[in-house]
Amino acid sequence: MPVETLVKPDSPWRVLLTQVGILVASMLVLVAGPVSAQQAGRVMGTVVNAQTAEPVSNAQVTVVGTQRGTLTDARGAFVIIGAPAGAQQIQVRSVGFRAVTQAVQVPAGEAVRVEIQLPIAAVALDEVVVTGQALGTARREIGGSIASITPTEAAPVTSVTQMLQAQAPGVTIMPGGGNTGQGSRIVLRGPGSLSQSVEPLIYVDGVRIDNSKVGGGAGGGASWTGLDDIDPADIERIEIIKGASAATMYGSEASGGVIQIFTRRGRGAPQRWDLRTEYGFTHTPREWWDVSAYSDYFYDNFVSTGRHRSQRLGVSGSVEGFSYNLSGSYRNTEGVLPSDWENHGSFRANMTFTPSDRMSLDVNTGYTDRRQRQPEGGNNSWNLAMNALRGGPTGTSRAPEQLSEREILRNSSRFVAGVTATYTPIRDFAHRVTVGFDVVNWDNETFLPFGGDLSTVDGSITNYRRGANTLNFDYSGSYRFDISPTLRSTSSFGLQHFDKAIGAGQASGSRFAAPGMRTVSATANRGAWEDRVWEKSGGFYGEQQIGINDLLFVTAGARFDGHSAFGAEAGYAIYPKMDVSYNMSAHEWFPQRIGTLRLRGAYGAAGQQPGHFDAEMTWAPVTVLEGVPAITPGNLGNPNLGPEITHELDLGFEAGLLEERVGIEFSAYRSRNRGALFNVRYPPSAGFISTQLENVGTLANDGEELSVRGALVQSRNLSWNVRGSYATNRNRVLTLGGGAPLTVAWSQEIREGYPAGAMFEDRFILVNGAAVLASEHFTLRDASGNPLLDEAGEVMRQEGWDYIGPVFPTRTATLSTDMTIGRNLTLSVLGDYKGGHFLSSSTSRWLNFEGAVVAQNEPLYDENDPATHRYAPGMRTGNLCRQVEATTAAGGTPDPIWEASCNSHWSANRGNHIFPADNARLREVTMIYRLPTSLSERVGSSRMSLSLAGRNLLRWQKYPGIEAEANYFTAGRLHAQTYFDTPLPRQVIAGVTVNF
Amino acid sequence: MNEFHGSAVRLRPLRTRLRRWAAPGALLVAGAIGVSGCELSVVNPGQIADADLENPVAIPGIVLGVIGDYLTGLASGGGGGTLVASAMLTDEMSNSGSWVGLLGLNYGQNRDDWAESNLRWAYPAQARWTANRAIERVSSLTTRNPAADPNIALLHLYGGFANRVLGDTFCDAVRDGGPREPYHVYFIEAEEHFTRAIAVAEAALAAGDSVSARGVAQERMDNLVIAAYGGRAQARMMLAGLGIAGYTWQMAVQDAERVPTEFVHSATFTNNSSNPWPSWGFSLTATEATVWGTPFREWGQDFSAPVAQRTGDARVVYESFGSSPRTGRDNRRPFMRQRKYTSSSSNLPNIRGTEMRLIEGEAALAAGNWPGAVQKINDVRDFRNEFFTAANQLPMVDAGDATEAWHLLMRERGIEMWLEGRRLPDLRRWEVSPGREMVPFQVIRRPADTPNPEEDPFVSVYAVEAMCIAVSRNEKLSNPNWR
Repeated sequence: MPVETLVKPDSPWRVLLTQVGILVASMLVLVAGPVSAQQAGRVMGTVVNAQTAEPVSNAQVTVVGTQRGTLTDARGAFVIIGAPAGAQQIQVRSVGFRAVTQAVQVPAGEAVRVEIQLPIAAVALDEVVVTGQALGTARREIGGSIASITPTEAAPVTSVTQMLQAQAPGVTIMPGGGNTGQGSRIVLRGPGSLSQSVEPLIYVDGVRIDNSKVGGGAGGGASWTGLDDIDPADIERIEIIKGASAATMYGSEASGGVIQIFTRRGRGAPQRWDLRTEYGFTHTPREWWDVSAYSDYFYDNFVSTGRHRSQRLGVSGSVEGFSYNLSGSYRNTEGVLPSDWENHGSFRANMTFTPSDRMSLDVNTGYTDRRQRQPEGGNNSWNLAMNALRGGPTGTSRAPEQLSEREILRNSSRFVAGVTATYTPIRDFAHRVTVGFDVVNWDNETFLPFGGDLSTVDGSITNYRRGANTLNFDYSGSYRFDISPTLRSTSSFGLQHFDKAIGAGQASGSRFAAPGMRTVSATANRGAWEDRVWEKSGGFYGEQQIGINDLLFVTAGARFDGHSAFGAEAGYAIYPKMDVSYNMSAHEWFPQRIGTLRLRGAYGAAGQQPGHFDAEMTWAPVTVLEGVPAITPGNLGNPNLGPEITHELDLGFEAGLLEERVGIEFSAYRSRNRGALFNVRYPPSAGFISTQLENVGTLANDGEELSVRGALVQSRNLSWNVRGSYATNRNRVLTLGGGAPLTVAWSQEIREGYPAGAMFEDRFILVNGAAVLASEHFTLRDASGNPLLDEAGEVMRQEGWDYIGPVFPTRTATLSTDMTIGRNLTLSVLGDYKGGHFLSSSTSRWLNFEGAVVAQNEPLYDENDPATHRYAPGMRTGNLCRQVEATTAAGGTPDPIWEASCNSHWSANRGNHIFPADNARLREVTMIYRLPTSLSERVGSSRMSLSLAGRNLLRWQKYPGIEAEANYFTAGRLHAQTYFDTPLPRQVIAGVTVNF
Repeated sequence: MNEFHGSAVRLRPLRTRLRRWAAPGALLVAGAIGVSGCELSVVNPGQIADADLENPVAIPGIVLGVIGDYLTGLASGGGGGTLVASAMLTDEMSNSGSWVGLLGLNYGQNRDDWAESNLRWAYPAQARWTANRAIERVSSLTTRNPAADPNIALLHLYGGFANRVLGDTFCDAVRDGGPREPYHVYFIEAEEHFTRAIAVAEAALAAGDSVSARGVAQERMDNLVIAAYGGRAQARMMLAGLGIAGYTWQMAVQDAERVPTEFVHSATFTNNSSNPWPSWGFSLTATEATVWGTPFREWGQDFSAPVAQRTGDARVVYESFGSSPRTGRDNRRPFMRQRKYTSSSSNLPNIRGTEMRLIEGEAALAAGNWPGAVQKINDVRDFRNEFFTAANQLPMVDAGDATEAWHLLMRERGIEMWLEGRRLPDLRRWEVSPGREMVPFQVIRRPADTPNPEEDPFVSVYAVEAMCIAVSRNEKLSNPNWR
């Protein structure tokens, strides 16, 4: 939908924008006087590690009580221009260090030089995080769980979701597969909804962005993640608000947590240019594809090594009252399959105006253009791997050689713009207003040309276009004052308005008249559909914090939300919160030798709204006969439908031990989504065959998160840190309010007492050394051995007889280390593990079902060539069953379960193709060599570094399919299904960074 | 730095500050309420509100929607709706694909928990409910006399068809979320709808209203009356054949006799409709279902053969691809595609006059008059021969006894109404009378344990868990009255 249609003369948008404009203009007028009246000077200096005297880069340096600030460069240097003259406090914060405030005397019109030493801190209590308040809040003051991620220099990361992977306990990234640009599902602390999004809200510099994962057009089905539109190199830090207890102030739609991305701001003077060039490759080893008799054929003919090329140029700097950061990047990545590439270009311009010490105005803009061609994948008869691995050169539906004839193209552009005005009329009384726009346009095409080998209908084309425009308006205010020398009050309040309009349409046609045509208009048979959705939400909140010295902080608040999707009778939603932070080590009696200890606890609620039509009884328009309009039952409706509200209790502690060499963070959370929106099935015989959302369920997520950091060595010539984390999640449906279990995908159901979307299926199990069907083994029988029947005549079985397991990881772990040798060489390694979950493999099932055998006329088979005997007619196609046959033929004893499964009908053994998806990866290995300054200066550079990094270099998985991390239905909320997916490839990237 | 010292001094500035910010605070609260609470309503154009249908101008859309839902039930869901499902469960088609929902049916499985099972049930069940709801709504909205309103006659006709398809196909009946009932209650409800359709249409004709609805959905009332008689004959045939008290073959024959042999009433499909064609079984591009492995391969005519060499019944036409045989999606079985329907806008007959003659023939057999049954078969063949070329002329048939006559009639019904969804109710009815031992047909179901499909065994058409489709698991779990 074009923007013009949103801003109609009488629309609330126009009113809102007018009001915002007036507000911003008023603020500028208010502060215009003080700007010219200020006397200013400069503060210059360096920030170093107090232990090692090494420079600290990216430290945040601010003049307390003003909007003036900057970041240190790689040499720890900084310059603040426009600092108010006179006595000032300079505060420095950096991840891994304690905050330090140092007094300086700023001379008017001149510079003052300081050196600030930062003591290391194992626990980041001084880190300022954004919690919805206008005033930044130190972590020591809040009781909720917020993880911070700062990018690792030169890490092998080409997307934001890769950047998030294995970085914080409780943050689970579930990729769709290994094709270029393929999206991922992000889940914080387990799936929090039975029907709605389980993913967090995404904010970029205060602008809420659309992170939808809708596929479009025919074919592949692989979706991408809107979050990956952002160039990861533009990111300065990411804050992850993990649960409802911390996300209360974000209201409806925030029960899955919130991810806040902060892009790079302008650094201090002088101006600095950054140039980075990367070259690399993607690769999958042969054995990662070895699932079928045809694996070698497939690998030799279709799998190749893809290239990666990336260039990025950025410039940042500041002059008095203005700082900027501009960057542009272009990346081309080729996948390991034919027709698998992505071009990703982005441009970002962030500017900060600081017209006075009372006010700053941030203008953040980013534009991304992505173009991608996808190979045929997913549950699709054109799937290249499926055809080749099942049927060899002839394929099962189509010959693999011909499949690239159909093109699947995905193009998208995104423009994100936000203006944030921060106004502090008096010290400790701050207002912040953000107006953000996010405009995303997709243009997806599936094209089969005229006259090709597969062109049975003279070609066809499908064009899917989607435009999503979102606007968010946020105001927050905070007022902090001291009630007494020991008591401090911080009051926060604010409001939000969110407006989202999506217009989508698809046109498709078949039968071109001649070659060269590529529009739907050029086809003879055409069809089209259109969909428009508009939703709005508004809310306001208030929060009060009382702090007792730096010891204890108690915060209570609530948010009130309305949403256009709520039922007419539902009214406002109320989300309460309360949290406590107790900095025990701030007591004088606390033994300093122990270090730092903070206890914290938080309770809070956040919501998730229903879909835009769910509350209404509707009928759907259809066409019947020869295009005549008609109606059919749509949605049953529920006027009382409200948001589901997740209540979470989060308790934890943070400790810094052994002179801050060891840091421990622990959280235990217990969340209950009460009134969970569940798709209640009504009898189809009563007319409405779609399910109806009702606030009837209760979904639980309980878990623990532990992370440990250790600074093993901290010296001038060697720094060695180790980090590890372990997280658990126990998800289960406590009640469906009488609703019937619901099937969400093949073998996946939502049932009371089990994890959401868990796997249920009959399968062969081992009983006394023999394989028997679970449905037989667990059947309840009378004394004569006859099955007992219930009153509906169904065979009765032991409860849970068909339960296999959850589909989201129940445990995750990471282990990483980084070592800096001297000043020039840094090596970092990251590994991670996910486990306890299951994945349904259609890859395995389709390769190993009873009819999957090498065809009689197999062209690859040569009776006289033993190397081709794996293609012998009649040979089982799948490795699992071929192994059973080979073992039997050799006189051995095959696995009884697989022997039974391979010799049974595939509808009986479906559960045997649902596998544990436990997997571990050597996720990242990065080596950086920083050229000595003397050397880099010879080429005119202030700093120059070389890097070599690898991603997914090693993998371990129990799963016998192709890829345990893949999931065809990335857009599906609870799905865990694979269809001949692509392995997550090894990525090796060599890069050069030059700073001028 | 804290600028206040001592409680007495501290409180006064606090009050001062509060006063200073009282007005902006009030403005802020007002703004909060104004921005966030005032206007959150939106208009989304994608769906139609139920209240919008309480308007006489909505009647055509409501009526056409009932037809659309019936077509959807026939052809959509689970790989081709009830039409494809019945073809795969019976001997009309054999499986050559990998889609478990179709393959399983062909193997004789009667699973209620497959996704395909849910849709196969949901759409026809919805079609029945929609027709009944529409009759209520249109009766209250119409400005005409409901007892003589052509639209209501049309709704009863499709209410009858929807019930008949449910009875033809499913193992049990469940109506409006009620308890499980024997499946024949659908035929009783269908019979009532057809009776009402006849009465309302004749009243409309008497009142001078000769057509219903609009556009291509216009149904001539005289035509509708014949179709309703045909539908009632089908329902009564099932009720009589199943031995339901109160229904006789004579009643079916009386209705059948009202339908001329040349009469055809069809479900209309086009490329411009939302109701998809049953493509997985019937289209020329799908390879999930094959004529190979069925008796129809022997009875029918191979389109791939040179014209002069084509033999077999021209009512059953399939394509074997001659010297370039193909395999199905299972990469194993020969794919021989049907050529009765050659495009996705081919219509599917609801009522055929020729079926009426065969109903009369079956009634004759039930009464012991097997020569009379053979005569009816030959009447159909005579009629067909009027349209066939000399090479395709159907020979007249004869029988030596009642058993042979039964076999002829069973085969003739299969051929005459091949892939029209009639084979499944026939096999269900014949299972009761004259009994499954009288049904000689065989079909290939499960594959042999060899790579050679030609070694797959022919088994009885009744070698299935049940000669019907199970009511879906969704219905069973969501319906508290299911017992």
